[in-house]
Amino acid sequence: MEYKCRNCGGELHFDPNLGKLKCDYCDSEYDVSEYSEIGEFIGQNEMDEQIVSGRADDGSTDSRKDLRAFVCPHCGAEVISDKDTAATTCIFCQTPMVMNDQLSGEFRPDMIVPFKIGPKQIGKLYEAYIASKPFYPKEYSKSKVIEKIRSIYLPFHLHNLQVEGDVTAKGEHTFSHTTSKWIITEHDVYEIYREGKMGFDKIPVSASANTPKNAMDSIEPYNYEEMVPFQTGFLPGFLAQRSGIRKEETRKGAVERAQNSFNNAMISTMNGFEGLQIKDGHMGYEAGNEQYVLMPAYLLFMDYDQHEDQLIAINGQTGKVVGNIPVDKKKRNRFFLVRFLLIWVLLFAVLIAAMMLID
Amino acid sequence: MKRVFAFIIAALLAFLLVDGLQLSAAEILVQDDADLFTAQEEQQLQQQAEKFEQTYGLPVFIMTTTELPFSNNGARDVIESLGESRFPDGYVAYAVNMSDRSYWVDAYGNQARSIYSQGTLDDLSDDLQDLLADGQYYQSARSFLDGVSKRYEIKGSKWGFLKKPLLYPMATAIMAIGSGVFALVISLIWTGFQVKKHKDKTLQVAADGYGRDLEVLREREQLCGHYQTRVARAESSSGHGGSGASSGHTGSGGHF
Repeated sequence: MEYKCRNCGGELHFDPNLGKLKCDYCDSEYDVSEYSEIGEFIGQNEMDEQIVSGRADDGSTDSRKDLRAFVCPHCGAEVISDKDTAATTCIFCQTPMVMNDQLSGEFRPDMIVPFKIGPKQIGKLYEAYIASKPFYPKEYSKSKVIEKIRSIYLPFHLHNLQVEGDVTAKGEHTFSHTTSKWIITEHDVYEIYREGKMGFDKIPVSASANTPKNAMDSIEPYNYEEMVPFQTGFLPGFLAQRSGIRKEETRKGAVERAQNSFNNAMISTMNGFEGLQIKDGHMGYEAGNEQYVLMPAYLLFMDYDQHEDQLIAINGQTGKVVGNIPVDKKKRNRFFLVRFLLIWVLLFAVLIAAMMLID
Repeated sequence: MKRVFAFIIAALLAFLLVDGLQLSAAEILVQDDADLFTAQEEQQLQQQAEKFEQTYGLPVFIMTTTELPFSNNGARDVIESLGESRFPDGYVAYAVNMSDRSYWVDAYGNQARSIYSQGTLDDLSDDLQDLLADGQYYQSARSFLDGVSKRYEIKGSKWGFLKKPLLYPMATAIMAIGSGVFALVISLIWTGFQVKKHKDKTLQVAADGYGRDLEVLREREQLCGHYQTRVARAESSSGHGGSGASSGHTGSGGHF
């Protein structure tokens, strides 16, 4: 499915800075809701689809498995993409495409957080980020990677949970007094019991099968106040992935996080006791509503010196950048050597000066 | 005319002879009455003391004695009375009195006292005590001469303090090694912090930002035991040292 301009017939794409669909040819702008309500998906062509092997050419994945080929309805070129891809761009004519069948039925998201950071801002964000990594390899410089950064909507499940439980601990109150020979400390030992409950709203867990969990955890949080009901009009111009994991599977991660927070909150009520030792505890949870949401991100897959963590991720709403950037050993060693010599010379000079001046 | 010439020659010879006698009298700078040095050691000390006097123009002398003391430090008694009479313009001296096993380092006169402060003599005195306690009398005398020479090099001229690192090579080497080790540790920590900046990704293990306030349904705190621990109080200790001198002198010493 293509989004075509009602004015000139050009391809539309979602502009994060405007929050609207925009035509690059005649500069026409359309509200996403207005466009969808009218139902004018001009040129709603059927796209042939078949399973293939090789490598995705739209940047949707690095995997060589589970790929699909689509035929661009605009230029007829074959676009190879990940099996979970729900929106992409033709690499030949840059036509934004949305695969409706990937976003229907159980795969239709409930909500979406639209892109707020545009591709033009990404350059500055990345430049500032990489400048904060003192030993980044030159292959990671902005000019060498900016073209590789892909904007993508990633699937998340938001879990609402109610955690209940109790904790039993031992702790002490102490007070000291002194005699002529001794410092005496009195220890009153208490058994402490707490029972409580705590609600959690919209804990996000990545539902993407091929995106590293630590990267997705690290670009949190998203501002849910800007979350809106899902419409395909937010997708043109971006890659989009449908959920590849069931909600029941992602719930485990959310429960684990909620229970850790609940446990910490329970222990924080025992402030004032020294030497706390947890003796016993029970926890249970009740799952509430679970939403399937698309969240915006920019991803950069690097292939550098067999570095195992190749992904840099940027929150497409807040601009938060995360990555595990490899260290250029030459830069690191030079940094160390310069500091070592400078500190040595300065310190030695100060000591010698002190030696000479102190009588 | 011949008489006049002969008189001038005789007067010159007499002057040189008398001056030579005075010089040879002043050159007795090591007086080992307690017989703590060998003849060779005494000669070496004498040569070093003469060299000091020629170089800096300040008399230095060393004496050992067995005279009975009339105060709490027999070495000081001897050195102050003998020093003032032999070198009324000032001197720096070191004395060891074996009758009460005392020693004293003394500076007399304005020039000597401006160079050898109380602190300097205290430090020198401390170094000598260790050698004396070990029975190394010659070494202590050498150490005294080395110490006063270095001190004069440093304080005897306006820019003398610049020579200090060269005069104390051991201290300089320790500072070089110490500052190198310190620089190494700091640079390693600094580099480590910079390397750590390269890693941003973390797995979230808690959901603190998504939780509402904890609702405590029941709470109980029950006293279930009591015990006592005791630690002995630390006792304070104190020590003492000694220095000071008579009027016009700056000195430091003690017993070994």
